[in-house]
Amino acid sequence: VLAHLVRGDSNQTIGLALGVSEGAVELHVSALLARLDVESRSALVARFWSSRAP
Amino acid sequence: VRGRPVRAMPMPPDRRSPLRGPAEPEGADPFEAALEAIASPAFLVRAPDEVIRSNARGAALLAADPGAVRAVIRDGSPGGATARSLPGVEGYTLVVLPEAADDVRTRAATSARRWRLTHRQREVLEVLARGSSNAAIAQALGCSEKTVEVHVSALLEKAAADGRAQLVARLWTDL
Repeated sequence: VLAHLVRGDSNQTIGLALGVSEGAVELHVSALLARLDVESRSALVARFWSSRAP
Repeated sequence: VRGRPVRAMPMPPDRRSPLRGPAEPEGADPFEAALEAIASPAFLVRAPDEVIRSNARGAALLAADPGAVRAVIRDGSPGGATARSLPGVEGYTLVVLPEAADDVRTRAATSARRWRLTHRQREVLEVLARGSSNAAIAQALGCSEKTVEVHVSALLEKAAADGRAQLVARLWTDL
């Protein structure tokens, strides 16, 4: 899910690509945001690409 | 151009890899760890352009635009890539792209030219690209949140992005 998220894919697109429901993707995304302590998906994308040490 | 799932690229079992010794513990992949330690998108390439491994940024970039990434890996252009041969390992090169080494400001400037942004839109993009909310952008630029909304809508349209997360992704992945 993270791999798709950092390309800016929507939940619907991620769901289609991974063969799971959009609802399931939403759960994964929420879990990722909480775990990485960011407030939005754009903040997560920003952090993935701009941090010096991944 | 998207749609290719990002996945780990294991060595084909039919070809013995000189990079994986028999003594390595199962599950651990020192080479992958080494790639991940590189901040920029990085690829292990078997000549001429077969990507064997990549770090997370490399994989995301490859998935976003396979054709362009392969062209850069092959020819080192247009973005410029550093290719290093690996001593003692023939036929493989380590290719590192400069992209993620740039800072947000540089990337925003590049995107502003590409997307033909106005000066103000570029300022908004630069703050947005750090993952800021509209409220935070409004505060940073000293304008109302409504104004920011207008700028962001224009940005999304110009970049043909489907949401702000995709806008930030495009900022980093467009070669």
